[in-house]
Amino acid sequence: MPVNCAIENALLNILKNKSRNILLGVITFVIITAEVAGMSIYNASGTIVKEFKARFGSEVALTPLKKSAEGITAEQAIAFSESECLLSTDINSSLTCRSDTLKAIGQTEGRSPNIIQGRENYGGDLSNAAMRLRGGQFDKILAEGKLPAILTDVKFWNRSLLARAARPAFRAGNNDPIPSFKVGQYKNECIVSSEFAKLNQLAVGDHISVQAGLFESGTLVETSISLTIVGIYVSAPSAAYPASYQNPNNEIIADFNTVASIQKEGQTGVAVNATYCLKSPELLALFEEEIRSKGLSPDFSVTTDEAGYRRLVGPIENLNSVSLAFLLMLFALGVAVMALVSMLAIRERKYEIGVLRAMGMKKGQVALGLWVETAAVTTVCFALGMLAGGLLSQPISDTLLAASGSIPVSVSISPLTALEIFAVAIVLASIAGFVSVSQITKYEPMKILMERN
Amino acid sequence: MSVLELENVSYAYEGSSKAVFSDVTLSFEAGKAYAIAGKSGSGKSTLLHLLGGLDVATRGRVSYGGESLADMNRNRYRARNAGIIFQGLNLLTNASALENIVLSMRISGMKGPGLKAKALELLARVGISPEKASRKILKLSGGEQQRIAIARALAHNPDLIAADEPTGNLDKDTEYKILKIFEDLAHKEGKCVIIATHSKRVTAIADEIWTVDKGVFRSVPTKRN
Ligand SMILES: Nc1ncnc2c1ncn2[C@@H]1O[C@H](COP(=O)(O)OP(=O)(O)OP(=O)(O)O)[C@@H](O)[C@H]1O
Ligand SMILES: [Mg+2]
Repeated sequence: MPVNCAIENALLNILKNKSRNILLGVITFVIITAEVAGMSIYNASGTIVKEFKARFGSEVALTPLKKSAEGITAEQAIAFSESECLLSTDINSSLTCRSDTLKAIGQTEGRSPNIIQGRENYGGDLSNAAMRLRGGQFDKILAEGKLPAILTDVKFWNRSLLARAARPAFRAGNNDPIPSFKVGQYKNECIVSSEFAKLNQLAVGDHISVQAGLFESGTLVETSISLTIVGIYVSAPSAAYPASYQNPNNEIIADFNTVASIQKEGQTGVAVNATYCLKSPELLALFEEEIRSKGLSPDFSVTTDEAGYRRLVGPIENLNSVSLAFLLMLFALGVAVMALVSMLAIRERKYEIGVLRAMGMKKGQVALGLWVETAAVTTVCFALGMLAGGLLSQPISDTLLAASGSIPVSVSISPLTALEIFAVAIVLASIAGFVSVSQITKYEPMKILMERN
Repeated sequence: MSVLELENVSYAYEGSSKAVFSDVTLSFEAGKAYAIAGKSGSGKSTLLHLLGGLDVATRGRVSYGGESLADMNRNRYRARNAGIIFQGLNLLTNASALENIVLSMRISGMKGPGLKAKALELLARVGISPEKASRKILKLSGGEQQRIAIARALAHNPDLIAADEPTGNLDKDTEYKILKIFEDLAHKEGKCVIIATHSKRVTAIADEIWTVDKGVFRSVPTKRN
């Protein structure tokens, strides 16, 4: 029964005690604004650091030390990818091909393919009639539904603006979803760009045939492959490329194994690219040991791009630790100020508390009433502070990142963070409030009323 | 039948070595009006605070209906059984008369849509118009505030009314009206009314008069008897 009358009285009080509540509100507002700005910067930079650590800090490069070194084989690429040290692997296989029935984008009209028996020049000597058959992680491309994701950069498309900005070459690319697919077994299935499809009047369901250029002890051996088109992705118009097989729109994308298995024992021609991401950078030595034992030639170095990683992550890590320090300072200050304000506000109301107690209101009800009033004011000011903090955090973050020589980052605050801040504000105000109320109400009503000054 | 009893009650304010009164034994009955007279500083207000459950005796026992106030739920006692008119009024000054009274009713557990009308009726009885009833306490005169404090003490229909100088700020005519209310409360409604006062006009309506001097309470014969 008296629950609602204590709360009702509190709500009436909000408007009656205008000046006090405005003061309380302004203080809350300022603290929350600063807290939100600090926290969103801290969170944003923290997310970026984490992301960069995952991306660059642990991305392993297998670099040939000699120019003549053979690439790793598909079997090796797959065997290496089974390591426990890895977070993820991106593997793709590719080879140059041509077709008697299909034209490549940028192919010089009127010139027929003039194949020379030299592996180095297979693509270039096709007089720009060459295409590239690319075997990627087809499942992944399909699952993510994004292109030109095609290869190792598939993930970048779903990453932050920062990653996109860091790879300007991909910025102009196409990000449209792939039209509907009939997802089959992938074996001998492919997808092609809309530009390529238009040039050759291809449609989903068509069968195409290409000649893959493979070599057996230096001699070209063309192998014919039939593929079914299961999808056409909307591509951006091609830029000019020195050789048509370098044009991503000329790539016929198939499953990794479809491409890798074209190459038979004793043949070369399929290039296997593998990018391995370690679970953490410290695992590098362990991973190297493992893949060497699985047959990686000593002609390859196994490294992470430590310097590049430092360059990119360093400034953001600085921002991260600065904002953390700022946040902790603010937090301490906030605790002190909120507690003090809450205590003073309640001490000031000793008379009111005494009267309510004298009228027979229970201690808990008195505290509840004061809490409702404080909480209501805090809630309103929290919302306003969130708004102001949200508006402030972007320019602050931009300034800080520019000062540290980094690229802009989009800063925002998640609902969870907002809730955290709200909880902190309410808990602080509540604890201080309840402590001071109970300090007062532990006395008999007459004592409270007599000692109100 | 006595509703309220003091047995060997002593009271000393915290930090003060001298007791305001010691070993006081008194009893108050329903249906009677009592006057407590005495010089300023003699302990009248202190006694009413103990009777009203606003403070507890240092020694001895104050009981209501046979139950010791020290052991009972004094919130409930204050909210339902006792109605106190403070010398310092102790109204919620930021609120209106109406709000003060309705809040008192609601704390006592009274419910329903009729509370406001009841409160206005009570205020009219002490001479406060509906217009003044919705004005903030601070914007009313001392006498008006005093009458509102009286109305608030009666709002929850208590058995015991403890009034501390309830007519100090009132003119003669108004004082008569208010005293008539107290008289009726005792004699017609069977309440126990205890009034601390300096005023002869107040002692005139009392069934029993007690004086207090240097911590000693003495019964004084009334004109009525
Ligand atoms: N909070 C207090 N702390 C210490 N002593 C107090 C306190 N309040 C009152 N006293 C003392 O207790 C004694 C009784 O005070 P009380 O207020 O009961 O007197 P009173 O009879 O009501 O006087 P008045 O007629 O002036 O209202 C006085 O001597 C007073 O100084
Ligand atoms: Mg007094």
